[in-house]
Amino acid sequence: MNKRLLVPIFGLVAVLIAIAVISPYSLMPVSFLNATKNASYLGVVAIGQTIVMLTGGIDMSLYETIALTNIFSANFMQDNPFSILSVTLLAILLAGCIGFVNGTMIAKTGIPAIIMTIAMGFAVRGSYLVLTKGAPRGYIPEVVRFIGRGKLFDLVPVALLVWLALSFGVILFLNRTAAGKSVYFTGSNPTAARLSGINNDWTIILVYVTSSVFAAISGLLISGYLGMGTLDAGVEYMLSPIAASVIGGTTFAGGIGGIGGTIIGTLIMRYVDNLMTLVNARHAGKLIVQGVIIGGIATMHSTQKWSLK
Amino acid sequence: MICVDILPLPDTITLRVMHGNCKNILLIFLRGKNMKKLAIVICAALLVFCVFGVAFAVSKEQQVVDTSRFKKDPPWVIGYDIYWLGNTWSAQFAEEFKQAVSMYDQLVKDVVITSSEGSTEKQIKNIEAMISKKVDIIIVTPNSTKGLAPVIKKALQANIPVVLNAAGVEGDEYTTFINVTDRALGKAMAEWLVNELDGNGRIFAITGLPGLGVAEARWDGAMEIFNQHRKIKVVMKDAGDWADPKTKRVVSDMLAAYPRPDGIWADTPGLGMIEAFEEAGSSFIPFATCSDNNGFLKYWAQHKSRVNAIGVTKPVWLSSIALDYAFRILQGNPVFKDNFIPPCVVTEENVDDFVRFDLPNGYWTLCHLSDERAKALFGE
Amino acid sequence: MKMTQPHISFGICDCVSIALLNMFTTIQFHFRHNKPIFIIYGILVLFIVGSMAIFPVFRSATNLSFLMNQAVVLGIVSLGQTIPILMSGLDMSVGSVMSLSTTIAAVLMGGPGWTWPLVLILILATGTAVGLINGLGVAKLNMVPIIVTLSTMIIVSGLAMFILPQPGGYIPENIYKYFLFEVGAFQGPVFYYIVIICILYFFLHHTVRGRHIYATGGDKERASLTGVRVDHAIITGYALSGLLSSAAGIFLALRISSGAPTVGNPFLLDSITAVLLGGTTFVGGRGGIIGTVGGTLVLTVLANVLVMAEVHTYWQYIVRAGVLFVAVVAYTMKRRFA
Repeated sequence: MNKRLLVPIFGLVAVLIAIAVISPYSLMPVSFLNATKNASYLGVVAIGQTIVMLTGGIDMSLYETIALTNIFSANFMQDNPFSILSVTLLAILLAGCIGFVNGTMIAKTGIPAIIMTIAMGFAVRGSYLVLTKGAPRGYIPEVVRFIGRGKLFDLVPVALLVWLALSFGVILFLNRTAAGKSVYFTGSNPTAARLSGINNDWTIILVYVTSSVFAAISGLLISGYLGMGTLDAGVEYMLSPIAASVIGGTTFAGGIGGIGGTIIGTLIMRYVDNLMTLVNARHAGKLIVQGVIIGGIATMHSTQKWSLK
Repeated sequence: MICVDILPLPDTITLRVMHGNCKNILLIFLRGKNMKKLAIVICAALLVFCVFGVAFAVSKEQQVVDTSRFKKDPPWVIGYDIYWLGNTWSAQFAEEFKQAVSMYDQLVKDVVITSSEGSTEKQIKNIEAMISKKVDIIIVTPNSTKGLAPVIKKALQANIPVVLNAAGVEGDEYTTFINVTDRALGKAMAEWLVNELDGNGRIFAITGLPGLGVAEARWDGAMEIFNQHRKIKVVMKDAGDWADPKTKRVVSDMLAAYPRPDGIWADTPGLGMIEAFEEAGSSFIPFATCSDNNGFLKYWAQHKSRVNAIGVTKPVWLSSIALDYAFRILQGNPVFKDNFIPPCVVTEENVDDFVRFDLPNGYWTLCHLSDERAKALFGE
Repeated sequence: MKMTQPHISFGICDCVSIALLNMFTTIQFHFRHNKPIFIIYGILVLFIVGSMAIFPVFRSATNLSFLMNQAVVLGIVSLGQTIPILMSGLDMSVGSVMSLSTTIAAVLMGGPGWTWPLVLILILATGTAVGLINGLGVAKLNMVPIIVTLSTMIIVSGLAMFILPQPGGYIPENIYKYFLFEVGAFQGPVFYYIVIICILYFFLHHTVRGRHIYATGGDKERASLTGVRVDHAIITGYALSGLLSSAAGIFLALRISSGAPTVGNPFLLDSITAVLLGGTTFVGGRGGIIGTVGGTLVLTVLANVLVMAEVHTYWQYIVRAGVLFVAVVAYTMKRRFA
C-alpha cells in the first residue's frame, strides 16, 4: 500500500473516533451502512474526477451530467425491462458524448480543462432547462429504485456494492493495464509519454469520456435514490468529488494519486458531513470544517516528498 | 380563518363552515331539491358576510395608497420579473402570471419579462432595464428585503408604480404588497403541531432555502409558538432548501442520529421527508408542512391511515392576483398598501379535492392554471 | 567649384505623411504584440453600435448610465482575477471574499463602535489577508493554485455564512454620499473604478514588483534565474487579487444595500470569463488589465442586451457557455498559429 494513503487513513480514523464519541448509535451496522450508502453516489463520481486529475486536468461538468442523467431517465424510463435497459444505455451514451467533446477540445485545442468543462457544464444546464422548461417530470421505475436505494438481505446497500465494484475495477485497470498506466504517464510527463509511443490525445479523450460516464452511472444511482426527476440532483457534486480526490492524495500536478485514496477521501467527506449534522452544526461550521480539512490534507500531501516528479 | 365548503352528496347538500385548523363549527344538511336554492342563498349570504367581515377587520389598520398619479390609459406595458426558476413552485408561479396576463389582450400592450435567477444583483439590473424601457408598472418578487430599496425608489421617481408579489421589502418604498403572511404560515404550522403533540415532545425542524426572507419569516412564526411551550424541544434543525433531494438526505441523517422524534415542522414539499422516514423504517409522526405539492398529496391521499399531516400553503395563484392589483393601480383606483391573503389549508379531509393523479409530482395543487397550461409546463 | 549641400526641405505635406507613417508603424507594432486588446475592443465597439441600432432603448442616457454602473463590481473583481491568471494560476476564492466583504459591511457598519471608514479598512485588510494565505500556499508550500484557493474559498464561504447566515444587515445612509454621487450621467462607483484601473496599470507596468509578476507568469524558471524573487511576486499577486475582490465586495454591498453570504458566487466564473475575453490566458505572462476591462464591458453589454431582447433565462446559460468557449478557442488558436 502506498505511503501516500497514510494521511487520509489517519484522517478517516480520526473522524470515525469523533463520531463514536458523539453518537455511538451511528456506528451500529444499520445506520453506519446507511451513511456509507450515501457516500456511494459521491464515490462513483469521484472515481471519474480522480482519473481526470491524474492527467493533470479537471472536470467541472460532472454535476450537470448527473442532473442531466436524472432528468433524462425520469422522463423516458417506463416500467418494463426493455425501456429501462435502453434508457440506461442511452443516458450513458449521452454522457459519453459530453465527455468526448470535452476531451477532444481539451486535447486538440489546448483549452484549459477548467474552462472547457465549465463551459460544457453551462451548455448542459441550459439544454436541460430549456427542454424541461424548469419543470422536470417523470418517475423512476422500481428496479432502478432498488439499485439506487435498496439493500441486499436488508442490510448491504446495493449502491455501496456498485461503488466498491467500480472502484476495484478501475484500480485494476489503472495499475495492471497498459492503457491505465498510460493515464499516469500522460499526467506526470506528457512529453516523455508521447515519445514513448503513448497517444496522449486519445488518453485524454478516454479519461474525460470515463469521467462523464461515471457521472452518468452515479446519476442513475441518485435517480434511484430520489425516485423522480428534479433540477437539483447534481448540486452537491460540484466541488465534493474534487475535494474527495484531493484528500485522497491526487493532486493537479498530474500523475500522482489514485482511486484508493479517493475511496478514503469520499468516506471522510461523507462522515464529516454526518458528524456535523450530529452536532447540529450550522451550515457555516460545516463549510469551515470542510475547507480546513481539504486545505490541511492538501498541504500535508504537498509537503511530503513521495512524488513521482 | 373561515372556510365555507359545499360538499355535493347524493340527494343532499351539505354546508360546512370551518374555522382555523379545520374544526367544523357548523354543518348544515339540506335535503331535497327545494333546499338547493336555499342553500345557495345561505352560501351567498355567508360569503358576502365573510368578505365584509374580512374587509372590515382589515380596513381598520390598513393604509390606503392614492394611485391617481399612476393613472394611464390602456393598453399598458407591464414589467414582470421572474425572481427564480429553480424549482417547480417558482416555475408555476411565473406560469400563473403568464396565463393571467394572456387573458387581457386588450388591456395589455406588451409584457416585459425578465429573469433574476435568485440573484438580488440581477434583479436590480432587470428593474433598471425596465425603467429604461419605460414600462407602465413593475411587478416584482424581491429576492432580498433590503437590496431593492434604491432601485424601487428610482422606479417610483420615474413615476412607475411597483407591486411587490409574494415577498416584501423593508421600509415602505413601494406601491402595494401582496402576500400570504409567511410568519402566520409558520405559526399556523407550529400551532397545529403543538396541538397534535399536546404541548409536549421532541421535534425536528426543516427550514426552507436560506436567502429569501420567506424561510426566516416562517421559522420566526414557528419559534414564537414553540417558545410559548417549554415542553416542546427542537432537537434537530437544518435547511431543506425547499428541495426534496436535500430534504431527504437531511432527514435521513437526522433519523440516523435520533430515530424517534415525536413530530416534525417542515418547510418543504414533503415527499423527500416521507421517503426518508420510510427508508429509515421509522414510524410516521405528525408532519406539519406548508406544502400543497402534488407528490406529497398523492402519497398522503393513498396512505391516509398512516399519514397525519397538514399543509398550510402559499398558493401559486398569488401572482395572478398581483396582476389584478396592477390593473387597479393603472386605472387610478386606490389600493391598500399591504394585502395579506389568508393561507389555504390542506388537511386529511380535503386532500382528495386537491390531489391530481394525472399530473406529475412537481405540480403545486393550489393552482388556477388551466389543464392545457399545466400539462404543457410539465411536459405531458 | 563650390560643393553645394543637398537641400532637403520639408513642406507641410511631408510632415503630415511622416507623422501618419509613424502612427501606422506604431499601431502595427502594437497590433502585432497586443492583438487581443484590439480584438476585444473592436468587438465591444461593434457590440455597442449594433445594440444601439437594434434596440432603441439602448441609446437612452438612462440605460447607458445604468450600464456603466453595472460594470463596476464585475470590473473590479476581474481586475483582481487578472493577476493570478497572468501567473498561470487561478483564484477561486474571489466570489467568497466578495460575499464575506458584504457580510462584514452589513453587520459592522450599522453597529456601535465602528465608523464606516474603519470598517472599509477592515474589509480590505481581510481580503488582502486571504490573498496572502493563497499566495503563501502557492509560493511556499508549492501547492497547485486551484486547490489552495478552493480551500480558502470554502473556508471564507463558511465565515461569511457564520457572520451573516441570511441576507440582511444594514448599510448606513451616510456612506452613500461618498460613493453614490452623480456627476451628469456618471455615477460614483464608475469614478472609483477608473481610479483603480489607473493605479493598477501603473503598478503592473511601471513598478519593479509589477514587472516581476509579468516575468513570473511568462516563465517561472527563467525569471528566477534572472534574479526575480518569484515567490514574492506570487504572494503579491494573490494578495492583490484578494484586495481587489474585497473592494469589489464593498461596491456590491453598496449596490444591494445589504450583505448576503452567497451573493459573490456568480462573480467567480464571470470574472474568469472577463479575463479570458480580454486576452489574458493561462499560458501566463501575456495580456493585462486593459484587456480585462474590455472583457468586462463586453460581458456587461451582453447581459444588458439579453435582457433587452427578453431572451429567456435558460438560453442565457447556453449563451454564457458559448461566449466562454469562443473566447478561449479564439485565443488558444491564435497562440498555436502565431
